[in-house]
Amino acid sequence: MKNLDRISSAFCFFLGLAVLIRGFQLKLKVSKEMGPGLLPVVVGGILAFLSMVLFFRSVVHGDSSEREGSFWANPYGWKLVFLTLLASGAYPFSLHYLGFLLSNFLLLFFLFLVIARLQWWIAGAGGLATALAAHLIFVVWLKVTIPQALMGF
Amino acid sequence: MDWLQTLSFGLSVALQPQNLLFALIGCVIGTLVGVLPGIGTTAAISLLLPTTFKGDVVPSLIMLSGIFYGSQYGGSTTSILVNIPGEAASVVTCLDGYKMARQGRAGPALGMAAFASFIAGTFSVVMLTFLAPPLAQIGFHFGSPEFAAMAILGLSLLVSLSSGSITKALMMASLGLILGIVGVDPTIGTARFTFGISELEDGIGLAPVAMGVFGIGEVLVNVEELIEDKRQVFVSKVKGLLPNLQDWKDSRIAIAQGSVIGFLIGLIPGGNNIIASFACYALQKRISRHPERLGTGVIEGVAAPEAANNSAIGGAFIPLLTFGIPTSAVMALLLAGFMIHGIVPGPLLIKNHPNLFWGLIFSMYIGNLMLLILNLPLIWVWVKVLNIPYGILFPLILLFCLIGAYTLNNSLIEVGFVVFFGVVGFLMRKFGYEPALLILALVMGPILEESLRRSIALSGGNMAIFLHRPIALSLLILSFVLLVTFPITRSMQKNRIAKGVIQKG
Repeated sequence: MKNLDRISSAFCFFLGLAVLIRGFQLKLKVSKEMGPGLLPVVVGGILAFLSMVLFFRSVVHGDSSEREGSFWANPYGWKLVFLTLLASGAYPFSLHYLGFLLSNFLLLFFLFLVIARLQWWIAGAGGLATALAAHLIFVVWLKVTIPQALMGF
Repeated sequence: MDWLQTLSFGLSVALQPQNLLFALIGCVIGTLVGVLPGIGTTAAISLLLPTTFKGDVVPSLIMLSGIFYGSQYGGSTTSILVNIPGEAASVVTCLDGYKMARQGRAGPALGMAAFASFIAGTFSVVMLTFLAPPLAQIGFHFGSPEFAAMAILGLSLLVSLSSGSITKALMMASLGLILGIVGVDPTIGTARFTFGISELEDGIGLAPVAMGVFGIGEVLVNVEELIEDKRQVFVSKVKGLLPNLQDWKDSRIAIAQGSVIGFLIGLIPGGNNIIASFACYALQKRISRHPERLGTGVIEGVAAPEAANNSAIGGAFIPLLTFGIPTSAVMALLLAGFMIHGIVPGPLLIKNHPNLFWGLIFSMYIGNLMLLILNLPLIWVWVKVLNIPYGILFPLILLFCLIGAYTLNNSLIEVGFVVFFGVVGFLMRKFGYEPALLILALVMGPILEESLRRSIALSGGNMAIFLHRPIALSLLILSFVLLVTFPITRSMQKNRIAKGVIQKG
């Protein structure tokens, strides 16, 4: 990947520009005090300017983060990252519908089995033991209020 | 309070059973975090921050600090036995430590790492004990303009001392400041960048960002390389931990130098324990009678960086406790630990919360002693821990992140924020940006805005107030000089290296 700086600087440029514009829409000065828009204007402007500098530098001198080969460290890396993210993203929903204990077990079982590639019974036992330990620590000991799931636990 | 009273008061707080227990928990977790590659100190502290919300402030901060200095002790174990730094600050220890292990001297290397860490760690706490109170007095002369200038100087130093591109470092600082702006403006109550999400009205908290960027972000980076996890412990049983007389003779200057330099570097914003260990090793190479031996497995090559990275921690506490300015991402999280309990560190901390101030400092003396015991007679435990594969560890880290995110405000949206910032942290690492700067700027942003607002209100809307305050003006000039000169000196260094390579070629 030879254009990492170009992609990231382009994203940051538009972000900085959006912050700058929104800052102008907010007030820069309120009577003799600093308005809510002053800092966004200054910081957004700086970010947009620096992004432009990085973009043009990467065009002229090449990418500072240039490295050999793919964006991913290994050919299957993206699958592992994607599946881990999928499990993490699904966790709040499962917490809402399935409850604390079951969600924790399912998350751990999935990660142990699919990502860590443990045998299914080790993944199951590990997931169950950890889910129970988490329940004891957070619910019993620290008395964290857990969401009341549809299944009631 | 005279020093004798201070000593007895500090010890009476630190020796309370609850505080002792939390110091031990912090030291054990810290050593564990240091030993295990794949989970950093910042991630560990951000994960455990929510567990301190409901507890007392003194034991909570004693525990969080214990994790910080404990991780420095643990980091050397992995460097010496596996040649993988458990902590970023232990990178240099690999150079001589692992070679000593290969020569059959893993025991003395681990022993010297623990003793050097203990001596330097204790030295820096002594310095902290004596320097913090007079420095806090200086803080009383600081008004809003000075604090605003100090925040700008802190950010400038952090950017200047960053390891990668300065442009990218400045961009991260700007992004952190933007995240700090999110929420309802305190002056006229305008919502800024909240997108109608009520959870964002109070601003983006440090904990979800840190948990996402450092916790989940680090997990994602490591998960990607999970297939290639071929960690092998070089020594299964460590023997002869006590260094001999010759080892002590060889290491004494390295320890003394590491203690002093590490402490001084720790004082500077951005001058963290990683820089301290590298700087100390480089100096050791320069002043050594046999510089060619460093890197071949000599004990002073272990003693110098280990002393420096531990001593830097005591130094880093001074700006936080006396001015309320965090000098690193870990210190920013500790600042959040104070603020969650409604305490703002700064010049008034010593007066308003002496039990916290002195209790925390004196717990570090005890913590260092605990760590010496944990890292010498109990080294076999950590050797066993090193054999745990990352495939087992990362689901636990991830689960802790997600549960921790929920416990912040009992909100499922916060869990979503943490996952989002996890992706951001992953991409930042992939695109070559430093996440620590984002966290620091996020913390400094509201401090800077508040100080600026007060300064401008104080002057009746006149920005020239900074020109009429000598301390604030000096700090701003220094910031400007730093930001202008660092890129120039860095490009000059690069040119010199390039010329050297061409000439050698």
